[in-house]
Amino acid sequence: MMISDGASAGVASALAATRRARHEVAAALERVLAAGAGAWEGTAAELSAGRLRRLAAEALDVLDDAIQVCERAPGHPLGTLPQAPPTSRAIG
Amino acid sequence: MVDPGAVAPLPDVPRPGALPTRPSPPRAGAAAPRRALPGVTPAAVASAWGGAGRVMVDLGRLRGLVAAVRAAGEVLRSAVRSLVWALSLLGMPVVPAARLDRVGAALDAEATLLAGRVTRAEEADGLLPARTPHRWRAAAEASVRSGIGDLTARAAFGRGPTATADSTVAQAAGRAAARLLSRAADQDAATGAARARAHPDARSGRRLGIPAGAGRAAAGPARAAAEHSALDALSAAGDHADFIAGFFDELGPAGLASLLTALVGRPPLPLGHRPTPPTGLDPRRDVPVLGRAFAAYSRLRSLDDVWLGQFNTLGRTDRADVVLLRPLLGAGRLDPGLLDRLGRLAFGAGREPPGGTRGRSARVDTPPPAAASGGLRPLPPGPGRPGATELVAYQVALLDAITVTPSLVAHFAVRHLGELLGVASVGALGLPVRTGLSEQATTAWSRLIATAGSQSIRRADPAGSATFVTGLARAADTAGGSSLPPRLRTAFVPALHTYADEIYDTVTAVVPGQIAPAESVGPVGPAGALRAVPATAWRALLREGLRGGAMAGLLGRDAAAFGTRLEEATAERTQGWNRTPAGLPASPRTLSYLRAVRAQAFFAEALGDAADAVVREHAEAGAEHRRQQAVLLDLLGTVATSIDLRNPAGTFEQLGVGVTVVEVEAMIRERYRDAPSAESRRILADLRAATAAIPRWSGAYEESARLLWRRRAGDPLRPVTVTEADGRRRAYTGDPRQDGYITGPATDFLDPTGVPRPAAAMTPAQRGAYLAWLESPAMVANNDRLPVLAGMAGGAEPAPVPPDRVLRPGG
Repeated sequence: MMISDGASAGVASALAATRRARHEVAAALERVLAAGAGAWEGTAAELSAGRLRRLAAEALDVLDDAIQVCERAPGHPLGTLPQAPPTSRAIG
Repeated sequence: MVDPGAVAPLPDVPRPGALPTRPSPPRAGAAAPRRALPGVTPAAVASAWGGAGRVMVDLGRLRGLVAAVRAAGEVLRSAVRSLVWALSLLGMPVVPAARLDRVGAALDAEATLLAGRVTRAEEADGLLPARTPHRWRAAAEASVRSGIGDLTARAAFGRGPTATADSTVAQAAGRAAARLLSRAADQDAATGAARARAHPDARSGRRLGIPAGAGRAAAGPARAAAEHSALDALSAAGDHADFIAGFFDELGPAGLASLLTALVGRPPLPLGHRPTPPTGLDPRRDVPVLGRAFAAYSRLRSLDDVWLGQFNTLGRTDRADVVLLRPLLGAGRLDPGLLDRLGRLAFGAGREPPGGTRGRSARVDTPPPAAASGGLRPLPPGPGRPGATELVAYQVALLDAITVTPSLVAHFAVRHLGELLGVASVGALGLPVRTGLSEQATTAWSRLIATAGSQSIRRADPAGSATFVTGLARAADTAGGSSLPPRLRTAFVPALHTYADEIYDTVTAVVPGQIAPAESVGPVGPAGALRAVPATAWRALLREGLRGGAMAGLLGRDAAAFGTRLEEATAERTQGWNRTPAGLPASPRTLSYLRAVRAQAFFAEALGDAADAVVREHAEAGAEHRRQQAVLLDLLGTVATSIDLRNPAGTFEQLGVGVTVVEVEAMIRERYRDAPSAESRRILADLRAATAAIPRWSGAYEESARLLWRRRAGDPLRPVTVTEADGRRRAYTGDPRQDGYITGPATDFLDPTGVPRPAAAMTPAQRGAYLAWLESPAMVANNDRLPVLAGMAGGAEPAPVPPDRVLRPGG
């Protein structure tokens, strides 16, 4: 089956939008972590920091998955290839 | 350019730049030096914050953190929009966007909590002259995104710096979280309406490759995310009373009903089978959170009939869709008053027992039934409304919730006993228990009845517990030998066990009727009322408990244990009696022996009743019932062989405690023998013959004691000197005045001629004194008829069959 150029362009812009979103979110979360350093201390602070780290991880997880979904969509060059390995995520 | 992987996806991987998990020492020359609150130690700061640990805070940085978290939330919202657009373009489900939106909402909640920390720190920072002009600005700003900014600001600025400021912020935050829910519902409706206007044909304008319903699904995530963020906030707030109060106050009964409707996935309106709108709620995650919070709320506010009347999704003010509460009932301890109201709605007002505990169990304060109904009705089953199965599940959950509420369970149980026993025995009769008794309901009621009779409830609610057990005895007496489920019968056993001493004390008393201590004034308390229950009612209750079969051994041990304890106590307070010169006709302990034997005989009589009832009950039933009969008779026969009427201590040694209902049911299933065991019948008949040997023993004793007193001029009573339990020597003369039984007019049971009045005509205080006098060492020891009575008791040969240990646990 031929894939139309229109569909291919749609996939490309969707992928670009998703990647841009991930980039912006990662930057915002990085700012949160930077701002949190040394702001306050104690058990409550640790719990709050833990929650923020989990939320950050989940947000980036979701966006990474969404990027993979876009990359595997019919119309994307990768979509026609065998299953691509999951993009490696830096864990720091 | 930021490294896309800069944020650790795993929570606990420490990285430079990440939030510290351990406090680091203050850095010299840091831009904003950390300060503890001026003039106070860190410990004082901690207490000002209400926290357990030491809290150090840098206000400037913390404000920065709040701003950063809020900004991140904004970025996430924008990412959600991008994602929805991208996924819709590809014709993919927008589930990831909803997930991301939830994270954004959780970030908002975190920002609100952090802002609360800031304001609290500022509040505690009372000595600082330099302070932000409006110290509530941070909190107000923090909540702007959730739409509460205006409200918080108004509330906080309006009240000024008061001690309630923190509570105001928390309440406003709670209200904001609740408003998220209502706003989401409105948005959902608005989106739907707009779409309908734009595309009258549902399929028009659909893009190629986008599945039908994608548009609706795209509107769904907003609602789902709002629901998520609201419940996230509720979860994060924990048990903060002000937040919870704000949340449910704002949500209101109708809002809660809508939320629960979405949670259980029921169509919101009774209009055919419309699809359930998409929801971001996950019952497994959200029910415990909501349940705990609602339980706390029910204790904070009085959820009265007005509130319950609005608890529906129909917009009515007189219908309580109480079935919706089912998931919440098990998640937290609800207010007893609310549970009581729900109980009345579900099972009717019930009957107050005569001399009931209203006003005594003061914690349950409910209006009288007439006002309670007040036109308020539960929603009946129907389309879009709970079905019969759901109703039963709700009733079971409600009963279980009441079972774990010590201040209510006894009071509630006694109110419904009459109906319960009636419905259980004759099935559905159109009584307030609408669906009759399903198996689950029977089990739930059994749990409730068993709990109401337990020791722990007696400790927690003495008055309610005593009223319950007297009500239970009277109800069992009224129900007669009707066919109750064995499980329910076994549920009577805890009450019999808890009150064994009082019951046997009553049934072996020389004189029946209520007694009261001499110093008490006013009516007899519920514990004293136990003695007003006739022995026949106790016998009926014991019979029903024994017919359950399972705990017959335990009940037998109770009777024997009462006897041994009574004998021991009497021996304790009459030590050295036989050092008295000149022989006495009887030992002062004889009456206690007689009563101990009498307690066992009473038990044996009930055992015989139970066996008779078992035989009668299924006389014409099929093989299944005959098997049941055989097993129960064997169990009762096993207990009977252990009874040694002359020796309670021996009985106690010989009796097994009992088996479980499940074991009995298993025995009934496995037994092939369908004829009742002739041997068991013979044992029970022998026991009955043995216990019949002392008719009217108590009347005989009372009569002989009165004779003794009347003949005191010619045959003076010999004084008895004993050593009491506390080691003091005490002489009993037999004269009630001299021996301290008559202390004044209140306890004077003698008429002007010096003869005791008839016991039935005495006041409880007089009867108490009379009874104590009859049982006093001098009156017992001087009684020359007592040895004959005692000799008759237990005179018959006991059944010579060795105890059948096969049926015992482990036998």
